[in-house]
Amino acid sequence: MKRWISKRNLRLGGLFSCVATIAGLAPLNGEELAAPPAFQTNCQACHELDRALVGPSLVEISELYTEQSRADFIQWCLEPGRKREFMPQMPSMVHIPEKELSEIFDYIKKVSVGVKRVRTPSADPLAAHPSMVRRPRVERTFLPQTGPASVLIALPTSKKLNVVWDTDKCRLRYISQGETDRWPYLRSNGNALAKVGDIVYEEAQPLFGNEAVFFKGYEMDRNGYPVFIYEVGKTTVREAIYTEGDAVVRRFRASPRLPEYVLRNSDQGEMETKSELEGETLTITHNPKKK
Amino acid sequence: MNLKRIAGTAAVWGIVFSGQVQAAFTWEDYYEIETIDMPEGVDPQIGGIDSNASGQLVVCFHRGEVMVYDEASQEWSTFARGLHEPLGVFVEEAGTILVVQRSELTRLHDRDGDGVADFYELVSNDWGMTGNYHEFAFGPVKDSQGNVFLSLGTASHLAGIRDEIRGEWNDAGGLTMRDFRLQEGDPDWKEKKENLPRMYARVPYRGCVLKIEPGSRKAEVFATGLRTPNGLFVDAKDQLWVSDNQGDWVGASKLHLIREGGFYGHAASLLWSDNPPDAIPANLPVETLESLRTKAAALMPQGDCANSPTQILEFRNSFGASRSGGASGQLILGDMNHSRLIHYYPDEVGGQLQGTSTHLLDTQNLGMGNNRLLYSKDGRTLYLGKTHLSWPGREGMKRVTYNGKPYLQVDSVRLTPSGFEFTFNDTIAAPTSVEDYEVEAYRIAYHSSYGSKKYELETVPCSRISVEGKVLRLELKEKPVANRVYDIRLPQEISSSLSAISSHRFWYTAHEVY
Repeated sequence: MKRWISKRNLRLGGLFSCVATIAGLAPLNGEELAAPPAFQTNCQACHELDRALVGPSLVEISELYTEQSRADFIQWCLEPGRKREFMPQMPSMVHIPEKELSEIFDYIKKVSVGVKRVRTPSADPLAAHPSMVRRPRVERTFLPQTGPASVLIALPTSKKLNVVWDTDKCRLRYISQGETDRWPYLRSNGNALAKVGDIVYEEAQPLFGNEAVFFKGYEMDRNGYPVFIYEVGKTTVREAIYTEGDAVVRRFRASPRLPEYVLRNSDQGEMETKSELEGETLTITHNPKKK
Repeated sequence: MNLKRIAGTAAVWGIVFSGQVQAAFTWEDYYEIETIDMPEGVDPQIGGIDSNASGQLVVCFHRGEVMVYDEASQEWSTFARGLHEPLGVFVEEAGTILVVQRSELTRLHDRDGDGVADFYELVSNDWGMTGNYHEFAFGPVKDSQGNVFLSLGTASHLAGIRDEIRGEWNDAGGLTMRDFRLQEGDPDWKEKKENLPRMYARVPYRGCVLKIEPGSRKAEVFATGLRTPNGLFVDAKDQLWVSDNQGDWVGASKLHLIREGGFYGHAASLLWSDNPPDAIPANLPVETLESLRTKAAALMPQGDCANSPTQILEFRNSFGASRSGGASGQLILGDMNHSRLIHYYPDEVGGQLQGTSTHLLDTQNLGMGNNRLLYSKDGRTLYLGKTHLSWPGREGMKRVTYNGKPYLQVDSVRLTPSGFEFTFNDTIAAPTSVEDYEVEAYRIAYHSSYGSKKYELETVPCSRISVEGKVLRLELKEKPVANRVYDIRLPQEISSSLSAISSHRFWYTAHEVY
């Protein structure tokens, strides 16, 4: 069983030899060095000896601060800034008395002597897992060039087309092409946007004009394709998104009547877009242009 | 430091006191801590746990899955996918599952009964989002009337907002969207940041507790003044409790009893109160804010007592040795940074709710990052769901089961005119030498900067210790004073015929004194 113990216990190390193997101690020239209690309580959850965890390793901190920069270290603890894009800023350690911060500094300097930094690459451990790359796939995350409450629908077409659909505006914002990547979002705890590939089609204006819209949710069919449900004025619209061969298809149904619509796209020249109205069902098909 | 104290830290050390011999307390003698295997292909960071009518666990994960775990077969199945940072699930009576995402409260239906959600119904999305990473949504919990409560995190001043936001921007005090807009690699951001308040709430209703009535998609502001309220709980009396994380205006992490219309101290969300200021809330005089706020039921000093407390549950007799649990209003909370739980005992002085925090299951085997807590139906087992996001924490789930063997535990802690009164669940033997009891007192500041020093920190010597059956009384040389946290360390050799004392350090929040 691991049990953190404090320096005060060590003075009686001879009494119970089991402490030598207890975590919280680091090897130092054949002796054992105990972390000060304030380190155990406030630091070790984020800082490991030789590798970055939530914050930089003790070895890296020791490299950053020479023996002469004790005051800088203490000042940083009291008023931390941010040095690394993908690491959170450390909270202020203002609640720790400066004397104890100084002890923490001593500990970091001593415990790091002769220890090598282990660099751990940041890569998505699930990057290639089928559950993360399967198509069709519907996922909500922070996406570029749309509102914060948008949905990505990765479709199983040969060009890996993706639809980005905004639940606040109740409409398709764009179609992109290529692999998507949520890792920038996940790695930064939501501070960066997911990647969606290249945008190949945008709809600059809402299909149903500027009438008030209300999102009601979406159904998922057995094959994993969504049907978005929303109100345009007093009409409930059902918008299914699916594929036919290499084409993205959007099928709109409404009752009692489909609201008036105008399809204005700013085609990037990559897609051929067709619309067809049959009764109260509108079908819009986006086909990659053959080159 | 006396030898007896040291003995307490060594699990193997027998201690002799008043003729009784008790081994130092070890949580593993009373609780079995097991690891639940995680499903493959899932990022095992857990945002919410509940159980369904069949007794299966319903768990939501960091990357948006809602999965069902059958303990008997030890099998996971996927119920829903693709949700946006879900941080809470609630299984409804009808079998539908409420789940809160960053952007909305969603009801998941399985209409064809095949075990997979086929309708992701929007219940409410009636709040703003700037795209700032810190705008989390927490909950959902329900009261006996079916009202749903959620809470919203404030935006972090360490990042800006996106070009497209949801909800109307509040420019009180002249702060416009432009002041907060962050472009990728914006060279001006550092400079911009200098002029901005810390955590902000410029779109509805960041930093608030929201109430959504049954059948409504409208979110009403129920209370304001929260920062990172990552723990909600409705108790048997229909009272809503919310935890909050240390930071600006939160000198130490807090436990709040939430009342409708209350303001709980974090200034930013005053913009969404009934009487919003036409100013930057963080620039209001502290005295003004102080006059508006309701003080926390507990302050949990950073590092020592808690870092980032999480979900709250009632303490149940079935999960521990206390004989007055449940009815007495004791609570337990998780903690992100430490391998232990927090146990809260309420007290009331002059109508002010306050009380004591101590540690429960303080053992490395528990692991840290305990974000979500759920009791089994019989109340003997506690499931712990872990996460870290970009902070300290861990992954996966633990199952902690109480073996029913009684142990020595504190049942209540009361402030008295001269000190403190601890009532145990058994007749105790305890040292009566005042030197064996350590008490420190300090003040946690209410201010706009991050956290708080221990102001006016002093050691408060005891003048008398008395033991009478189950009751231990500490009399202080100087009467307790208001607006202090008392850090009380009892000697670890307090024991009874049951065991040695299970937790010996207590933080009493004394807003008021006798």
